[in-house]
Amino acid sequence: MKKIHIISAFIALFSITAVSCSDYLDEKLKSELAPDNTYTSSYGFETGSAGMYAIARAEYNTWGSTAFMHSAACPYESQQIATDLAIMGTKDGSIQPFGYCTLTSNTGIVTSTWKWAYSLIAAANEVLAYAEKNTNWDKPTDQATYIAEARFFRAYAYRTLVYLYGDVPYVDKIQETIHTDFTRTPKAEVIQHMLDDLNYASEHLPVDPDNVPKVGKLTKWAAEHLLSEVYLMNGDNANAEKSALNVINSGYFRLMSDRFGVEKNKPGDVFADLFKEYNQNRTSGNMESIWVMQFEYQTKGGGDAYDDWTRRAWEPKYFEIQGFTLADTLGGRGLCQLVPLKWWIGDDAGFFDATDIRNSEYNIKRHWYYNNPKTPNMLGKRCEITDETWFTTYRLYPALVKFFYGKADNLTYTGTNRDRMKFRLAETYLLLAEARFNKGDMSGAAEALNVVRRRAHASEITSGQMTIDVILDERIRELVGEESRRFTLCRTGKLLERCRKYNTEAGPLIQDYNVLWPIPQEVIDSNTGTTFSQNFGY
Amino acid sequence: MLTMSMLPAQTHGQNAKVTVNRNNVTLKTILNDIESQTNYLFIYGKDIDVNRVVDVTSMQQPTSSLLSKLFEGTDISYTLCGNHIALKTESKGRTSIGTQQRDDTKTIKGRVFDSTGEPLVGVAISIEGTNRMTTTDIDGNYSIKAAEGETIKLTYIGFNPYHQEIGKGNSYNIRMQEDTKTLDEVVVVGYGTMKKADLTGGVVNVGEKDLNRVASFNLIDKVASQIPGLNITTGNAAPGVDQSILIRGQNSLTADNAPLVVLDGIPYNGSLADIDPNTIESISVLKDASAAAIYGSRGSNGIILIQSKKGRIGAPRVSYRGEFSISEPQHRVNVMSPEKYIKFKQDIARLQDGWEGEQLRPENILSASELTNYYQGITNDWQNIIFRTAASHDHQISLSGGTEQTTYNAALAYLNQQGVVFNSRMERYNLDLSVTQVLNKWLTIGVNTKYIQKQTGGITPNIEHAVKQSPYGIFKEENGNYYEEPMDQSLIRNPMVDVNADQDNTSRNLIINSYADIVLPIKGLSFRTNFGYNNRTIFTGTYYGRDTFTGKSVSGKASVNNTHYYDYTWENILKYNRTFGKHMIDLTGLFSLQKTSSNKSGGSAESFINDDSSFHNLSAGEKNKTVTSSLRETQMLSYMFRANYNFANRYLLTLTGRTDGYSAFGKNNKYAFFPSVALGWNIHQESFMANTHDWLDQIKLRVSYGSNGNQAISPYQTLDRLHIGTYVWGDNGSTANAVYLPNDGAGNPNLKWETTHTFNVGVDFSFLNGRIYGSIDTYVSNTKDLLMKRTVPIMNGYSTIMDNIGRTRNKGIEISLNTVNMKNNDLEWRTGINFSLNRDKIIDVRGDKKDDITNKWFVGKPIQVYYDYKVVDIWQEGDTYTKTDSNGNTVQIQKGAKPGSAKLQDTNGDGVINSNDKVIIGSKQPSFRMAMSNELTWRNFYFSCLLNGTFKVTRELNEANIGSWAYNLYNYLEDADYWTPENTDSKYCSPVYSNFDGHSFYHNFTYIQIKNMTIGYNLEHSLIKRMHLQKASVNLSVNNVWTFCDIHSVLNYDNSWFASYPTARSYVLGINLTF
Repeated sequence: MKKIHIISAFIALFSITAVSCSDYLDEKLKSELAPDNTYTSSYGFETGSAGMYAIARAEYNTWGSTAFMHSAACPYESQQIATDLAIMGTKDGSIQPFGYCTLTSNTGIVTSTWKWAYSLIAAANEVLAYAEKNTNWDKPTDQATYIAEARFFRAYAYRTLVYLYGDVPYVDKIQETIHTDFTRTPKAEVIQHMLDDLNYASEHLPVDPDNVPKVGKLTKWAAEHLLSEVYLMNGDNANAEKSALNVINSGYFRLMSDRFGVEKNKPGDVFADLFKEYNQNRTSGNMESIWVMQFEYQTKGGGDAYDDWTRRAWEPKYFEIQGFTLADTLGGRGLCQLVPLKWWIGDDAGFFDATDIRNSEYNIKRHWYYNNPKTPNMLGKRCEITDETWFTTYRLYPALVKFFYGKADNLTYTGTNRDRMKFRLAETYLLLAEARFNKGDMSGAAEALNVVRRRAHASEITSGQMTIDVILDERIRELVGEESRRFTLCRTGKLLERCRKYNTEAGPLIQDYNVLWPIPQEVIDSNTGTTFSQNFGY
Repeated sequence: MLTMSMLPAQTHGQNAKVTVNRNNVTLKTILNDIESQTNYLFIYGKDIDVNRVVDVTSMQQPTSSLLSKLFEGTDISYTLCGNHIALKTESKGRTSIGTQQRDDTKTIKGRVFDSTGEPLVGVAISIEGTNRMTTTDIDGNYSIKAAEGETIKLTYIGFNPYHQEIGKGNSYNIRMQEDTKTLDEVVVVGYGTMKKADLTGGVVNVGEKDLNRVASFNLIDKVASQIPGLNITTGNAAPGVDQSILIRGQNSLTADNAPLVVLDGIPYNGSLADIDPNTIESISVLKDASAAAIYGSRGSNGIILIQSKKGRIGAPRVSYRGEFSISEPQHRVNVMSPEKYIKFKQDIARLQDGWEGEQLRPENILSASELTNYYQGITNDWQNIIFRTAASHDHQISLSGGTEQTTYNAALAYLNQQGVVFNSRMERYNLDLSVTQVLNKWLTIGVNTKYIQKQTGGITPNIEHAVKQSPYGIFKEENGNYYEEPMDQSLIRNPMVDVNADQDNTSRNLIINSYADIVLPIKGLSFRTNFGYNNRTIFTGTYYGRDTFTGKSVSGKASVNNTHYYDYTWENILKYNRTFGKHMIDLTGLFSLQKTSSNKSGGSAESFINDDSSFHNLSAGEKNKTVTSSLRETQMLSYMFRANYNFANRYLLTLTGRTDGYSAFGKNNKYAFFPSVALGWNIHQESFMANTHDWLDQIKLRVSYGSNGNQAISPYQTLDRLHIGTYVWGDNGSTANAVYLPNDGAGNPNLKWETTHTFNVGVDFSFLNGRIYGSIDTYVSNTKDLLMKRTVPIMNGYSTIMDNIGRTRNKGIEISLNTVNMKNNDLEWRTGINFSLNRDKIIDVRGDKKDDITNKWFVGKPIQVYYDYKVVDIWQEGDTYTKTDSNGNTVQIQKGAKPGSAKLQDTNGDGVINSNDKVIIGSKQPSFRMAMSNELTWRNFYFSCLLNGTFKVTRELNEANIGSWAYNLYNYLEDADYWTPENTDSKYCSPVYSNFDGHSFYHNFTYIQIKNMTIGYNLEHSLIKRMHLQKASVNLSVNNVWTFCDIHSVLNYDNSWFASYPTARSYVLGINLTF
C-alpha cells in the first residue's frame, strides 16, 4: 500500500509541474524600455525628443559613451580639412585620408558619419510612427510639437547626407522586415522631403524663444534658419531670402553689440563674449543664438571628455616650448590637427580690417608670453611665432580664442563641454546675403553682409565689391570652425577652386570627385538585394 | 545508476544481499554484478573457469547463499576474507595442502602502496601454490607466513597483479602499479554513469590522477592539453579570470560557442575560476551529438561534466595539500633603448615632416616632460615598473570518511594568488561539504554544497602604455605622485596613474545540489530528483581618489556595482534498468525546469569632499551621480528520454530525444526537439576474434548521429528595446532622460534555436595488455539556422539584428594515443599524444550562397577569417606610382603610396588598389593542435612534462603595424627593421606609413609551449611512519616554462593583442600530507 502511495505521489508531482508551466517561458522586459510602453504619453515623447537632441549633439563625438560615437579622433576636422582653412599639423590616422584626399569607402569617418545621420533619422522615424498613433497627450498641441521636432531632426540629418554623399536612400520609417535592396534617391527629391519636414516644423514648433518648455529646445526660428540654407541648396533663392528674413524680422533676435554675460566686466569685446562658457543660451542675455546644443561640464547628461574636440583640433602645442607650461588661460591643451593657413589669419591682421574686433587679441591670440615659473629668466617675455613654430613644429601660431577651453582643475581635459551655438543670427544674415547675391540683388547682399561687419567694427563693403568669395571670406571671419566649411563650399560650388587656391597641402592633391565622399563600403556590401552605386572616382 | 550501487551497501555484512537476475551469461558477469552491488571483491586464479555460462535468479538474497547455489556441483569453493571473496578449486586446494605444512615458513611483513604512495587497503595477498592468504589492513600493512623461495602474489582491483619472490628478508614494501586497461573504468555521462566499455558516444574522462599532473590554482589549467578537441585559450592570464573553452571548433557565428558546464549534475553558469581544483575528482567531456544530445538545446558546443569528490566508507582521513609558488612574466617585449628611441623619433620627424639637420635635435624631437629626464640622463624601464615576481600560496585541508549509511567529504581551502602585473591578485576561500545518507532500502538522500568567496580588485597598470612609454618619461613627480603624462599629450599615460585607486571586487558563490534516490517497487525502476541552486553575489566598489589620474580632475570618483544572481534547476529522472539474459536495457526519462535571474544595481558619483570615505558614501558625491538597475531572466523547460540497449556486451545502442523550451525565443518558436542515435560494437568480444586475445585487449567501433541546439543568446532579443541616455537642458540645468531606438534595438520576433547535426565515427583500441591504447574520432557537424548578429543596411532603422540564417560545417579528426614505453617494478615511462584538427566553413549565409562581406562571412571559407589587403612588398623610390586609365587620366595605383609604404596586392589585376583587392588572409582558428605528455616513474620519484602546440593560426601582427603601434610617437621594438631611405631592404615598412584604407598586417603563427614540468617524490614509508602520517609527497612544478615561436613581441600567445596580460611562468612547490 505504502508503495502505491509513493508512486501516485510522484505521478501527481509530475503532472502538477507540467501543468503550471504553461506561461513559464514568457518573457517580461523590465530593465529596458520598449517603444510600445514609452511612446504612449507626452512624457514618453519628451524623453524621445531629448533622445534626438542627444544624437544630434553627438555629431562630432569621438569616443564617448554618449548617444553616438565615431570611434575616431577627428570627425569634426574631417569637414574642415582640405578646404581653404587649414592644413594638418598633428596627423592623426583618422584625419589623414581627408587631409591628403586619400579617403576611400572604408575610411572610418566616412562610415561613421553616414551612421550618425541614419541613426538620427531612425530615432526620428520611430518617434513619428508612434506619435501618429498615440492619443494620450497632456496638451492638444503636444502631438504636433513632437512631430515637428522629429521632422526637424530628420531634415537636419539628411542635410549632412546630401552634402557629403549626394544621392542617398530616403527612408521615412523603421523597416519591419529586413531590407537589403535600398537604392539612392536623387538629391533633389531628398531635398524636397527636407523642405516638407522643415516647413511642417516651422509651422508647429514654439514661436517665442523665451517661452520654450526647456532651455535649448528648438523653435520655429531654428527651422526657418535651416529652411533658408536648404532652399539655397535647392537653388530657391527667393524662399531662402524669405526664410532668413522671417528669422531676422521675427523680433526675437539681434546681433549682440554690447558686452554681456559672465565675463562682461573683464577686458574683452562682445565677439569674445559670445564664446565664453555659459554665454550661449538666451538666458545669459545672448539674443543672437537661434539653436544651442546643450552641454554642461561635469554633469550627467552634459557630455564628457570625448565630446567636441575642437579645442584640441585648432590650438597649438605651445606647452611643448621650453618656457611654457600648460595653462587654462592659454586655452588648455591643443593638438593642432588644424593649422590655420596664413592667407586668411595672417602674421598680423590677415584678411581682417585693422578695426575688426574678430581679429582682436581676445579673438585671435597672436601674442604669446612665456608662463612657466620654472624658467624665471624667460617668464613674461614674448615668444615669437615663426614659420618653424607654425608649420614645422606646430607649437605656436595665431590661435582662435573662440575654441579656448581650459579647465584649471583638469588641464589635460580633452573635451569641450561649452554649449555649442549651432545656428546664430550672424549666419542667418550671411545666408541672406548668399540668397540675395544668387538672385543678383547685390546691394541687398552687401547690406546683409554689412550688418555683420558693422557689429564687428569692420569697414562696410559696397555692392560693387560683392562676389561669392566675399561672402565666403566673411563666413571665415565670422563663423570659422562653427560652420562645416565643407558644407558651405560644396553648397556654393567653390570647394575645389578655393582648396586648390589656398590650401598648400590638400590643394595639389584634391581631385574633382572629392566634392563628394564615397558611399561607405559597409552600406554597399550589406545591401545585397540590389546594386548600390558608388560615387564617381571611388 | 549511482543508486543501484549504493543501495546494497546498507545491507553489508557477512551476508550482504544482492539482486541478480540473469540467464545464459558467464560466471564473470555474475561476479561483476555482485562486486558492483556490494563492497566485495573476488579473487581467483586461472584455474577458475569464469567464462562458464550460468543462469542465476536471486532477489535480495544473501551473497553467501547465492554463491553456494552458483557453485553447487562444481569443485569451486569460496572463502570470505575481509572484503574479499577468494575462489579456489578443490583440486588446487588439495595439492596445496602438502606444501602448506612446510615448517620453514617465517612471518613476512610489509606495506602496500599505489604509485603515489597512498597505502592500499584490502589488497589480497596469497602465497602461490598454497591456500595461505591475507589482506592488507587500513594502513596497507600485511603479515603472512611464507618460506624462502616461495612467491607472494598480490591482486587488487584496478591494479596489475604483483609477484614477489621471498628471499632472506622478512619485510617487503610493495608498490603496485595501476592497471592501464581502463575498460572497467566508470565514466560519468549525462544523468548517470556508464562503464567505459559500454559507451556509444564520444566521451573523454580525466580522472583525479591526470588532474593532479599539473600544479595550478585553476581547474581548467589542469585539463588543458589532456583532451583532444578541447581547446582552452587563456586570453587573459590574470588571476581569477576564466579561460575560454571550445570543444571541436566553432559552430556558431554569433551565439556563444562555450560548452555547457555541468557541476555535480546541475548546469553551472558561474566562473570555473571559483572552483578549488583539489575538490574535483573527475572531468568528463562529451563531444559528439549522441553524448551531448541529452542536454539538447545546450549541447551543440559540447558538455563538460565536473564531479566533486565524495566521501568514501572508512575511517576519517584528514589530508593537507599546500602549494607555494613564485611567478614571473614568461617574457617581456624588448623595446627600444633610449638611444634607439631618439633615432626612431628622428626618423619619424624627417620622414613625416621633412625635418633635417638642427631641427632633429632631441630638444625638438622629445616632448617637454621627456626633456627633463633627457637633460638629467634619467631613463626608466617601464616593464620593470609594472611587472613583478609574485608569490602565491594555497592550502587545503580535507576530511573524508563514512559508514555504510553515511559518507561525507569536507574541505576548506584558502588561496592567495598574486599576479605578475602590479596590483593583480586573487584571494579565494572555498568550503566544500558533501554528505550522502542512506535512509532505508529504498531511499538515499544527499547534498553537495560549495561556498566560495573570491576577492580580486585593484586597478592594474595599463600594459600597453608601459610597453610603448618613452624611456625618458618621468615616472614620479617630486611629491611622489605618479607623473601623469610622461610623453605629454600622447594618450599614452603613465601606466601607473590609477594604481592608487581603491578597489574591492568580491564575489560570493553558494552552490547547493541536493538529491534523493528512490527505488520503486517495480523491479529495475528507480526515481531520482535533483534540485540545484546557485546563488552568486558580486560586489565591485571602486574609488579613484585625488592621488589618481581619473580622480584628480573630478575630486574623486566612486562607483559601486552589485550583482545578485541565482539560478535553479529541478530535475526529475525516472530510470529503468533490467537485464534479460544477454539483453540489457537502461531507460532514462527526464523532466526539468531551469531558471536564471540576474539582478544588478549600481551607482556612481564624482566630486567628494575628501577621499576618506572611499566608495562607501556615494551620497557625498556632488556631481555626475548615476544609478542603474537591471533584471535579466531566462527560463527553460525540458523533457528527455534515453534508451540504452546492450546485447552480450557486443552490440550497444543508444537512442536519445530531448525537447526544450526556452524563454528567449520568439513566441511561436519556443520549443525544439533534438533526437540522436548511437551504435557501438565491441569487436573484440566477437567469437571470431577469440584468437587475438593475446595481443588485442579491445577494439570498439562507435557511430553516432544526432542533433543538438544552441540557445546561447541574451534574453529579450525578440523584442524592440530603446536605449536610455541623458541630455541636459539649460545652464546648470537638470539632467533629462533621453531615449531612442539604438542601432541594435530592433527585435526579431521569429528568433529560434540554432541546430547542429553531427555524425561521428570513433574507434577505441587497446593492445598488448594496455601497453598501447587510445581512440580515434572523426566527425562532421552541420549547423543551420545560425543565431547571428547580422549587419544590415542602417537605412532599415537599425544596423544589427539577431537573426537565424546560414549554415556552417565543421569536420575534424581527434586522435588520442597512449603508450607505456617501459614498465617494470621500479620504472615506468608513459607517453600520451593528443592531436586534434578541425576545419570549419560557412556553407551558406542568407540562402543565396552569396558572401556577406560586411560581416566577413564568405561561403566555403572558415567562419572567422581575416579579410584584408595582402601586403606583398614595400614601395621604393623609382617605382611606378601612377597609371593612365582608359579615359586618359593619370590615377594613383595605390592612393597615398610613398617610398616606404606597404605595397598591396593588386588581386584583380586592374592596376589600381581598392576594396576589390581584398583577399581572405587566413582563418583565426589554428590548423591543428597537438599535445604530448611524458611521465616517468622511478621508485618513489616521478617526473612529467607536458608540451602543447598550436599550429598555423592567422593573427594580426601588431609589431609590423608600426603606424598603429608607435603612432609616430611611442616606443617601439629594439630590433625593429623598419624602412628608411637608408634602409630600403627592410622587413617592415616606414614608421610614418599611414595604412591604406586602414589595412593591417598578418602572420601565420605556430607556437609550441612547454606547459608544465614536474618532479615529485613520495616519501618512504618508514619516514612517513615516524612522522605519524599515512602518506606524504612533495613535488616541484614549473608551469609555462617556455614558448617557442618566431615572433617575440607578444606577452601572451593565446591572445592576438600583443600587450595583453602576460603568461606567467610559475615555480610551484606542492606538499601533500595525509594523516
